[in-house]
Amino acid sequence: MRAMIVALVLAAGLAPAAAGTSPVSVRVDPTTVSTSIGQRFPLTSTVRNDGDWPVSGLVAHLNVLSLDPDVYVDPEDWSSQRTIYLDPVPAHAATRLDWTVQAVNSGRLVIYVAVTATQGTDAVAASNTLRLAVASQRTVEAGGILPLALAMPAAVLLLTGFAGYRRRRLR
Amino acid sequence: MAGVDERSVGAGRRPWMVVADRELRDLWLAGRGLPLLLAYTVLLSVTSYLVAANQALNFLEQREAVGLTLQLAVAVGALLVLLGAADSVSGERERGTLESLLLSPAPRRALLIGKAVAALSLWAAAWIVSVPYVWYLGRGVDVVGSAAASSLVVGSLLALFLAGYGLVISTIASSNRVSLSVSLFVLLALYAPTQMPTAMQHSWIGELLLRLDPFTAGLRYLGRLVINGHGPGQDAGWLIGPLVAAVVAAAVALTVAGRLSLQGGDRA
Amino acid sequence: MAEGLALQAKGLRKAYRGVVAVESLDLEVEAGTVLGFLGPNGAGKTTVIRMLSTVLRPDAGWFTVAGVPGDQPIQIRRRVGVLPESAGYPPGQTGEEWLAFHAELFARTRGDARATARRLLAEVGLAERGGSLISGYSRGMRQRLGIARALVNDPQVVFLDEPTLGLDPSGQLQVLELMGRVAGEHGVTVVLSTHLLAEVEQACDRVLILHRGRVVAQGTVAEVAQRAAAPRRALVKVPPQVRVRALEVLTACEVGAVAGGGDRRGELVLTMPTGVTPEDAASLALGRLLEAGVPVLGFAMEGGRLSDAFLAVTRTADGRG
Repeated sequence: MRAMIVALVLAAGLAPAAAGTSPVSVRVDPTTVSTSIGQRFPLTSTVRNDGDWPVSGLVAHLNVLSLDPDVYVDPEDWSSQRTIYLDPVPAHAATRLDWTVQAVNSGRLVIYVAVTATQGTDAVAASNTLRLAVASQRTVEAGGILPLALAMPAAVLLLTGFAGYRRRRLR
Repeated sequence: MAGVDERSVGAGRRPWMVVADRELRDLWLAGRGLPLLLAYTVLLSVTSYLVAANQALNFLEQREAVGLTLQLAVAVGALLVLLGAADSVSGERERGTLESLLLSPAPRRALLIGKAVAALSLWAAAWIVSVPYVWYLGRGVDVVGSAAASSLVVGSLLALFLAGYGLVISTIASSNRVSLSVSLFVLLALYAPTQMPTAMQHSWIGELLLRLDPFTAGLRYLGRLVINGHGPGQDAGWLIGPLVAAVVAAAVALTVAGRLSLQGGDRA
Repeated sequence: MAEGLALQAKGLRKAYRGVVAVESLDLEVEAGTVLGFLGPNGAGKTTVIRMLSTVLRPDAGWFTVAGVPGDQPIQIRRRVGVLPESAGYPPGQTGEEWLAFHAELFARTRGDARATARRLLAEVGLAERGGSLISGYSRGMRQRLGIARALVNDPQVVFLDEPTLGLDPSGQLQVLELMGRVAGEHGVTVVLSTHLLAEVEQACDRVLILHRGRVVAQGTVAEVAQRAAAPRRALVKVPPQVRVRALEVLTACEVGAVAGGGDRRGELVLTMPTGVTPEDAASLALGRLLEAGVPVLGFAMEGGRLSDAFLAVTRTADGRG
């Protein structure tokens, strides 16, 4: 089912503008990224107006989904700015949008951009996909934090002991 | 030897510095400062260890672990500041050491400022202690620097607010017990909005309450920056409440300083 | 403002929540005087000291201390030293640290403050314990430390509120001797608030008796004792077998009221009238007894002391006199 959704999205993104459909198309670059969890990377999308008239009121929205059904993705965690309201795009012109995304989930994921207009059409133009491979990285473990968890109270205890020793010496 | 009038013109340290020096020594060398810090450090250690022992820790949970640590640091640090400030004047009054202070020519305001410095040092110590934990828990998730800086800002505003508030209560309370009770009650009241149902929190009145309450506003800002990865300026509006609270509390405390007396509530 | 006055007050009044502690106090104390401040519990002594030292603001009246009017409290505090009645001391500080801290509050530099602290500790006999925590000090040591604190700013006026409270007799003596040395060597005006009348008689130039917030007597010790019409008594010891004869002789000479000594059969108590000096009355009584051939085994003057004056004036003020 997920593969079918992906295929439909791909088809919509690559299909040329036909009569009666929106003249707007969108494309993302790069199309593949390999990174590790927590890393930020740039993403560029190009919104093109292939029509003969300028198009205004366009809204671009960034989407993230996981190809692993066990991984919950909240797109808001990936980018704090997921919606961009575009200026009017002249006829036969393109606008470039820059996004900064941070990989907060590991595994295989897909990012795409959808564009629609605030009025005048129900069509949604979806981009090609950015195939993302995010390696997990476990930086925190119980054994690693144990020295810190013990050393900090020990250091404060040492200071407390010193203060007590000073008090006893002054009696 | 210089006479009393000659000496009074800028010879020694400023009175607030003299008082602050004395209060800091009393707190950290002879008093409860280190035992309180030890209890706080143990709390952080236990919390961090339990978090790190979670085998399923992923990136977001790691950020949330950092967020939890910072919320603990801010909350406990603020509590320590409040306790220190609430005891500062009323405690001296009950221990019989206030009269000697009032007999000095130091302005009353200077006495309170010195005591505020000592109370605020509890927050400074709490923040410093939290940094290694934040560093460890935040490794690899690109959050350590922003978390440490934002917690310092938020915690300092809250600490200043509570120091001022605690000093006001301590100055006018009739006893140390009253001072501590009232202070803790208000602290609990400030925490209360965090327990509102989610739906109510998103309503306009809920959001207004959360923004007005310096505690919830500060913790909300911290959470959005650390857990949600927002930029420092993105949610800066949430810092208005803590900033206003800090300024107002400090101003009221300095004004109330003139009422510092042997009997709580009476004019000096 | 009169020259040479260390303390001056007119119409000072203070009430706590409707209860009048000091009714209307008028006071003039010359510089260099050691003033004994007497009064029963609740008379208002501590309240007066706190008003004059600017710790409390009076509800009415005006005052000057060391020539400085009461509306300049900071200037007054620079010139006075106070040993409060129920002074507390921080247990976690050493005596030297605590003194140096207060010295710094009087605008001394850190080095000067430490030197002042050491000097004062030596002066009050605590030089060897200055580096010890105050928590280890005895009560007498704390009182001496408090006196040192009262001197830390080289004051012109020193208020000592019950400095011997809770001390044993030797401790009381030490404190009084110290106070005398302070008054003599530093030339300060001392106000000694105490219950111990013997202390005032011994150490003070002048005395002021306060009762229920009002001054009921003030002057030199002798003036107060005499002005207060303290009854003078003499205890006359005669052989028991001539006791009745002695009673008749003393009654006949009308030198005063005579009463038996109760169970002590050989003793008679002679109360002398106020219009006669005790010396004249004693001479007359002894002379008549000897003329009558009554052997006098002992003759001791009693009364005429400050304690009697104190009781007399306070009872009069209570309406019991």
